[in-house]
Amino acid sequence: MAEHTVEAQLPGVFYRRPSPEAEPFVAEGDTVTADDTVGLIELMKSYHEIKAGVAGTVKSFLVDNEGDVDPGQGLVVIESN
Amino acid sequence: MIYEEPRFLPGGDRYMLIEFGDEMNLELNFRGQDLANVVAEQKTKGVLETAPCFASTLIHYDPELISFADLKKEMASLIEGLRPADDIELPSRLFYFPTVYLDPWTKECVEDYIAKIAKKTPDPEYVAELNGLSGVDQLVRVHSGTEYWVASLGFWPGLPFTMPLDPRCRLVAPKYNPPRTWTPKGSVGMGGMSTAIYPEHLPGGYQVFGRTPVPIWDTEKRFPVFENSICLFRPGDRIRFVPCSIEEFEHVEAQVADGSYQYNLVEYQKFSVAQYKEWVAGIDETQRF
Amino acid sequence: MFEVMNAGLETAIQDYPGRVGYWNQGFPPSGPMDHWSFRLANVLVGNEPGDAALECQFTGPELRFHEDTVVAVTGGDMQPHIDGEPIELWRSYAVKAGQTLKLSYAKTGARGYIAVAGAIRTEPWLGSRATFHKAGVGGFEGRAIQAGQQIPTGDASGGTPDMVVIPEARPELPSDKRWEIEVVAGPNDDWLDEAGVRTFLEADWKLSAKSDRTGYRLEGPGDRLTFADKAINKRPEHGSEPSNIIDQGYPNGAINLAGLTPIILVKDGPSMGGFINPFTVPTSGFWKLGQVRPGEVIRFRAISVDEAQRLAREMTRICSRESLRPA
Repeated sequence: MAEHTVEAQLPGVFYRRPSPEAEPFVAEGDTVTADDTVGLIELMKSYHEIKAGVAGTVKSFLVDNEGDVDPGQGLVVIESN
Repeated sequence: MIYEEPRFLPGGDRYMLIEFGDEMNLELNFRGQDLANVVAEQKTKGVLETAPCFASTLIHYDPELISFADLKKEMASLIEGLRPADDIELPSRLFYFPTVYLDPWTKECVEDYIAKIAKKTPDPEYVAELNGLSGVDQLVRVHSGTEYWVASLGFWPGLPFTMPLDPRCRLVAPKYNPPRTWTPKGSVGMGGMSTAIYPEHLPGGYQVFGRTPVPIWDTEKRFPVFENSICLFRPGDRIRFVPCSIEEFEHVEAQVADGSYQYNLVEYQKFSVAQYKEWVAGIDETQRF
Repeated sequence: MFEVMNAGLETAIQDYPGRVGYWNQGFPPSGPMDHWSFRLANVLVGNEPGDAALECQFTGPELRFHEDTVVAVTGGDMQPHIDGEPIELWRSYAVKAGQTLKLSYAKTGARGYIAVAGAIRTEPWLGSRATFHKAGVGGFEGRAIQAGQQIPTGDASGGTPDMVVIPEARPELPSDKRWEIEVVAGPNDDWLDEAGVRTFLEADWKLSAKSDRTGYRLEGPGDRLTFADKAINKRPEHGSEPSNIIDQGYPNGAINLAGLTPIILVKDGPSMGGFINPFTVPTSGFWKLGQVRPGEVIRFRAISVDEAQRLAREMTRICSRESLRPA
């Protein structure tokens, strides 16, 4: 078991849900595969998917929904399998 | 109001906006277009391009070649020499555009805006109410009851800014606050007293209540009307919106897709400002259709 | 010629000053957002300052060169590497056929520029190679570049490797996410009242993520802007909202008051419309718009037309070989 932090590579606004009414992509405690989407970053009027990058369990979110993010900033901590 | 002296307003280090007046009428539009034409013919030193609109002309200049003060002097003298609008007679093409009024596509776009961005009365009802019409059916009757004068192109390649020629069909509307993030391609709408056709899926600020399937710009020049320019219109053209059904819209859309569509326009007419003004003078502007 | 291995987020061919002469048909100039970094990238490799080169937005591309040439990377720091070895910004490098140049995400700023000796030589469209991505015109097949494309370049024999831009000639990016950007009052500044002008100039405006090469949306006290009488009591054809005006030509760089939301009209922006433009960002302040990121804060500082023209002239002087020395 190791902790993996998913980092933003783009500046913009972080979203945990695909749309305001929808359920979050993932929640703390969920298991994910490397290819699962954990959030979106809005930039240049487009939404860019953020992938988990590793398989494991979502431990915590480091940014609020609709929070501003910068490249290199940690978004989600995943405990890898 | 038409200003006695035009106003010369700076836009950053490279632009000058020349305002001729504070209303929408043909005379002001001809001032703007004529100045742009004279500047192009004379190749005025330092002027890179112009953008004339309803009551103004924007000049893009190179400050290394001409100063703001000298440009102002130069423009004032050219404006002095412009011909009076009453003398103007020019060939004017008339385009017919099949248009679905109160169509499902702009309706969906407005509903999306209301749900996600801001509450408002749906556009057709809003424009009808603001202009004292009996309802959306009269909006269609009044809006489609006149020819529209293409005053200029802008906002997006080929988008026509037009004004109604029949004073009985003048409608006014505010622009969106905040603007829409998207508008269907081919939407017909208005803001202020101007009517426009959206050439593409675009953001926008006009109230929208109709849609046409006929392309107004074409980078691939698939139709002969685009031979000389990828933009369909030029200033001085006229447009008539012909109300049609969704079935007719889809028929034309299919013809556009397979390249068999015939643009519906006539080219034998001349537009005379003096005759137009004489006709308008005899009309009761308070009458609606 | 070089091959696009990976395109980056939205990387496009631009030239400077772009597609000038078609504003009356609605064609924007396009061209680089940060013209300062763009011009210096060209100058570094021996090109003319306005030659066609690449603008990379937020995440850069990976390119493989098919012939020996000279390259330079400027602008925001996209961590450029040649064959896996990090290289410096603001410096020209000789590359051999087969070598790759790879950029990553922007650690500082927002846009990076890549110039190649001999410049990009795609077919000009309406007099320019600049890309208007949203409309599908100019550049390479009308759009941002895509993986697999082969981009033609000119004769690289005049390339100038191992040159650097002197530090004083490089644009400085703020370290505290706060920008001061010059504006010139007009054309429609008299539609705001004095308090409105003050509110506009004294406010912090945050750049929205809903911003791209057509327009920069600003978040701030738009609903506290106050208007002059001419914006309230006016003829109906303007439209009834205070920021509504009879449709008019828009200067590129104008700060458009769309409803009550300021939107800066940038390189692919509209040429006309029916909202007022109380202020305009002049050439000397415009390059900053190429490097400010969403979430960062802008304050505007009013300068005169004369001052704006003087600063632009100074910048043109800086964007020349005068600013280079051997590495």
